[in-house]
Order: sequence, then structure tokens, then C-alpha cells
Amino acid sequence: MRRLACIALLSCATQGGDGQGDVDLPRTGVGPFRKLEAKEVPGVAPYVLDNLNARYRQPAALALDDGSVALYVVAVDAGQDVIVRTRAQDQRAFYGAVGDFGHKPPVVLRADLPWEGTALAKPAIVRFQGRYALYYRAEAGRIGLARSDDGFRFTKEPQPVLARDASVAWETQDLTGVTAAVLEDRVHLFYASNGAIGEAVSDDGVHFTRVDGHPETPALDPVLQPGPAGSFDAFGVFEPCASPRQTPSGRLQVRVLYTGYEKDPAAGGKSVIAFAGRYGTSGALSRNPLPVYAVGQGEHAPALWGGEAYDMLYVEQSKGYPAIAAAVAPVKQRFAEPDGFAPEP
Amino acid sequence: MRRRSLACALGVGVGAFLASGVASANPLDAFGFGSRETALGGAASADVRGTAANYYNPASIVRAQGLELSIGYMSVAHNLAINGKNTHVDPVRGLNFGIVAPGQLFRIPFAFGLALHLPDDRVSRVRALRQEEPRWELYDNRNQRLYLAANLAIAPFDWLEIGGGLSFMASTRGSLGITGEADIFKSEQSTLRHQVDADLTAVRYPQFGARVHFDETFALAVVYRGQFKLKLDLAADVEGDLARLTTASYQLETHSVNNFLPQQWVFGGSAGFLKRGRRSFVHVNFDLTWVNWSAYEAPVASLDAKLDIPAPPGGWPAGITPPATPQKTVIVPLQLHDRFVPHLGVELRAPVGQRLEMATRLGYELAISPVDDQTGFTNYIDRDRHSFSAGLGVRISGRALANVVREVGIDMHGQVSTLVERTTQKTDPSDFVGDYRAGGSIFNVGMTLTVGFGR
Repeated sequence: MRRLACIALLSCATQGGDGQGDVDLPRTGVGPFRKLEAKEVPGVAPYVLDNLNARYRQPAALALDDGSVALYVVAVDAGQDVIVRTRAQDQRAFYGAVGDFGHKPPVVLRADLPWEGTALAKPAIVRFQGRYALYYRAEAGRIGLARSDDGFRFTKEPQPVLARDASVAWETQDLTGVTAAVLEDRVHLFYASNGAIGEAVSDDGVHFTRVDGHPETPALDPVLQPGPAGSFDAFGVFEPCASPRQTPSGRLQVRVLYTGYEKDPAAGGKSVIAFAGRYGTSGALSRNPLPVYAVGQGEHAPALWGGEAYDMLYVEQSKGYPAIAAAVAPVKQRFAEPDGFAPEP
Repeated sequence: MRRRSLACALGVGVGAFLASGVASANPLDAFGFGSRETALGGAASADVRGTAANYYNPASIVRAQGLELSIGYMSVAHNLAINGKNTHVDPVRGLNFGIVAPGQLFRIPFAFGLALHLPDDRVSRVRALRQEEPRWELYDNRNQRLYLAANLAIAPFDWLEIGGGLSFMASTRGSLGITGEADIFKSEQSTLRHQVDADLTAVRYPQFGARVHFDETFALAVVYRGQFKLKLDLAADVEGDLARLTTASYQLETHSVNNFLPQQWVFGGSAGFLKRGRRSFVHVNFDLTWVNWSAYEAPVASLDAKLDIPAPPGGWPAGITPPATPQKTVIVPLQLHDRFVPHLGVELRAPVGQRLEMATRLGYELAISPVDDQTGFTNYIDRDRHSFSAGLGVRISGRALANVVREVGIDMHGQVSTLVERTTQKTDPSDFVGDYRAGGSIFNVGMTLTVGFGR
């Protein structure tokens, strides 16, 4: 009888739940990410925007005031690489994606200036002085600027705002990727060249001055260089995506996601998405020794959307053809099936 | 009567020793045991009697005047926030039981005591987090435990009581084997079998105490509580076909200290004031607890994995990239600092007639965090804790009750702890967690019913 009582007593406390204590933990907002799974996206996971003919690629993300995300991506339209815009209210079901019949992301920018050549690439979108500022790469790595009041109808600057400077020792190749961030009312462009990332600053968003990643040395240095031998970005760092934030302690933190290659992609080098950051408006970036997203699918060209509860990463991945895939952080975040596509881009 | 109750209690105690495989740990260090002593801010080593002495000072169980049983309930709610958001640390709730059976052994006063904290939700929880994952180190997992202690005490002289005993803890070893066929294209069609083999073994740690009282109103005490480590070892062995392409094998071993209780020394004193006859109406207690936090071992799993996936004949299909072997965990050492924790308690006792006594209690405890600011890779979060407590007690004694019952006491307590908010700034701007503000409060309420038997 006494034994029975003891067993009954102990059995009261043997059916506990999983436990918590890990709700709303602090995060920098840059991963690590997990790719979205089946049923979390309308189409084939983890792709949120793919079309064999349009070949969507090189995304840039912009958080809109209504909580949705706008993506500016490169697409093929009438045989020409253009920049189109799409939007998702839930960050996953994009206007014009697979299954959203009858809709197609509208073209917002097309190459039509003499110095641009025939293709536009690598869009970077920010809000600056009350307007949308869309930076893009054109022929020969020249960086152009187009501005808009509504995010759809853009007016271009007639001349490029940035191009390779042959007098800078490390800029031995054309600029390959660009991203923009507004830090204390100035536009900072982070651009890739020769496997490193440099920085230029402008008060008006048009006229840029290069800044030194290491002012203590006489040369003008990049702000991020390839990682050490054997690391995931030993070959080079490319395609930066800058996203500033104010930390809970009030410090300005510049977060830069980038594509890192362990070795030359032409020789089979694999890519990963990685993270580097700094505090303040100037100086070199410190790289995290772990990638934030690595799935072995040729992922590159990261774009970031940050929310209160979770963060979304959009990258270009290979589905046999280029397409936009999505990933989420924290990795514990799970989504129900999307409610529906955005009715407008 | 006393002899019979002693035999009964000893029987229960032996049973507890034999059943130690499912035994205890220590939420009591954080939240106390018994409403009276919790209301006194834990300042009780020199002024405790009855069942609560099983935790606060085993020597004092011998002060019981007869068989004593207690049952109580404690509910602790955490409101611990990071960046202003509640992280929902699990509450600590459960029943507290105690028994003290005094007697005489070779004409020397002797007592046996047993204390049990039985949580509502779980007997014990095992959790191994990555070292960079933020967690409230002293509150997240350590207090989700069952506690059991068994003590013996004697009073060789009128002025001296000494006692000691053991507390128990379960250590876990486990293995996990998975075999079968994994379809890497359609995971839902994988057929895997798993086998879990877990083993609970007992970990015991000692505790002892002594109490010297110079008269009815002044006493000194010293208490020692030993250290224990709760280890968690897990081995996993996964083997099987991958979509009939190749045979993969994955071996994983983790070793961690899931729970660590540092050794403690408690030095306490109690003084009575406003005497009437032999009784004092105001008692002031003070305890100083030295906690050997510097011996702390972080609850982080060291992981060693071996992955063998030979490439299939003809190589991997397009789009399939075999995963690489996870690197062995490099554990960043966690250095905590030894701390002195002061406890202060005041009790006002007001007799109402011959058989009724009411008591009002106030307490305070200051626990300076032993954890350094987490400016690097790890995120063991803790903050300085100020605990303010209050309580009421009613004790009825004498023939007003049935002949077998000597006295009945009901005690209640409420405690509010404030963990002072402080900002942690990371030195590395590429840290995945980043800066954070952390702080919060803890609310602890409870009630204890004590029944003393004998005349």
C-alpha cells in the first residue's frame, strides 16, 4: 500500500511538457538561416520566385511600411536583362510567382542610356531623403542611380555614380556587385571588386567618395577582404548586401551579408552566404567565421528582410536555371501555408 | 508513540535511500524550502526547526519536540526579459513535503528527517544548449528538479546540535540508435527505426550542519552543502541506405554536465529581543552563504561526430551535395566567481493567549551574479538579484487540538526578486546574437501546513 502511494506521488510529476525559456531570444537578424520547406511557400520549396523564361535573380529587398517586402530582381524581358519589382505581404507568396496566374512582376528599370549597355544587374534599393533610390550595375561595372517617389516609376541619373577607379590598387577588376545603406543621413555604397568589398560615401546619393577600410595604412583599403586560406570565403567576397540597425544598446551596427567562395567558381568552387559587421559609420568589417546559409545549391546574391519575430533571406539559387529561394531565421521559426499572393506588386 | 514514529520514519528513509535512482536536485537554493524560512529571506540556519531544517541546517531537525509532518506548495513565476521581451522561462511549481522524527539513542537526543520537493511538471529536465544560445543560466533549467534529502542529527550537549545527510541526484546516460532507409528525395517515405537506451544512476552529495545556542535567544550555525555534477552522455549511431545510392554511417557522441551545484558554506546567527520570560518576540537572523561558483562547469555538450557517406558509383546526382562532418565543438571556458550571499530576516512573534501565536516576517537576500558580462561568443545570462520577502504564520498548540496533535502551524510567504537590468555589449560586431538588455523579476508565493504530533 505504501509502495503504491509512493508511485502515485511520483507519477504526478512525470508528464512534463517540452519547456520554454527560449522565446524571443536576442538576435542580430542575420541568421543562421534555414531554407523554407514544402508548404511554407506556394511553389516548390525553397523557391519563392522562379520562371524558366524570366530567370529571376540577384534580389534586393525593401521593407515596406505595411509589413510586406518588395523585391527588386533582375529578370529577362524581351531578351534583355531588366529590373522588375514584386511584393509579398507574408514575405513568401510573391506577386507573379508560380501559381499566381495572370500576374507578372512589372519592369521598373531597363537599360536605355548609352553607358549602360544592354543589361542591368545587381539592384540595390534604399529610401533616401523621402524617395526610393535604386542603384544598379550596368555595362563595365558602372553603377547607376534611379530615383522614384512610388517605387515603380524611376528617373535615372544621366551618368554613373560610381565606377572602377584604376588608381585604387585593389580595384583591379570592374565593380561586380553593389549595395546601399543610409547611415546618419549619408548613403554608403558597398561594392565588390577583385574578390574584396570596398565602400564609398555620399551626402546626396549621387557624388561618392571612397573611404578607407584601414585608415592606419597609407593605401586605400577595402572594408572586407577574403578570409584566411581554407575558409569558405578564401577565394573572395562578392555581392554585398548591407543592412544597418540600431542595437538594443543604442549602437549603430552595419550588417553586411555577402557571397563567399572557397575557390574559383569557374573551377568548381562552392559558394556560401556569410556575414560581416561593424559598429559605427566607418572602418573595416569583421567577418563571422561561420556561414549563415550554405545549402550547396550555388546560393549567392543575398538580400535581407528583417522583422520583429523573424528575418528572411532571399538568394539566387540554381534550379537548373536561376531562381529566387528564401530562408528564415531563427531556424525554429515555422510557417503555415501562405494565405495568398500579394494582389499588387 | 515517539519510538513508533521513529521506526516508521526510518523505514521511509531507508526506502528513500534505496530509491535514490529517481531522486533529487536543487531548486531550493534559488527559492527556499518552507514558507517561514523563505519569508525570512533564507536567513534560517541558526533559527530553524522542524522539517525545513532538512535543507537549511540538518543539525536543527533534532530540535523537534515530536513527530512533525509538513506539506506545502510553492509557485515561482519568472518574468525574465531580454530586450524587453519575456523569454518565458518555465515556472517552478511543486509540492514540498517534510518529516522529522525525533527520539533518543543511548539517551542522546536524536532525529531523522526527510525533505522532498516534488515539481508539478517534471521530475527532472535534461537540456543541452549550444554555448552561444542565450539562456538564463541560473533559472532556465537548473531548478527543474526533484529534490530529496535525508538527514540524521543528534544533540550531544544541551548547547550543541550536529547533523548531516545526503541529497540525491540522477545522472543520465543514453544511447540512440537509428537504422533504416532514408529517401533523400522524399523524406516522408524514409523508413527508419530508432532505439533509445537511457540509464539513470544516482549521484549523491553530502550536507551537514552544526548549531550552537548560548541561551534561548542567541545561536550560531554553520552548514555545508556539497557539490554535484549531473552528467549527460548521449551516443547516437545512424546507419542506412540513402535512396539506394550509397550506405551512410553517422556516429555521434556528446558529453556534458547538465547540472552543476556548487558547494556552499553557510554561516548564520540568530538573536532574540524583547524577551518576556524565556521567550523573545523579535528575532533577527543573518546568514552569509559562500558559494563556490568558480568550480562551475558550463552545461555545454562537447560533440564528436563521424560521418561516412561514400560517393555512389558514378558520382552524386546533380543537385545532391553530401554534408560534411560537423566539426568538434570547441567549448569556450566559462569562468564564474565565488560569491558571498547575505540573507537577512526579521520575525515578530505575537502570542495570543496561551495556545495561539501569530508571526510576521520580513526578509532580504542579495545575490550578486557570479557570471561575467557575456561580451564574447557565449551567452550565459544572469543579473544581480535582490529578493524581498514577507510572510505570516499562525501556530495553534496545546489541548485545543485532539490529543495526538501537539500543534498545527500555517505559514505563508511571498517573495519578489528583482534582477537588475543591465546592457551587454558584444565586442565582435559580427556576433550572431549581438547586444542585449536583460533583467526582470521573479515572483514566489507559497504556503506550508505543519502538524506536530505527540503531547
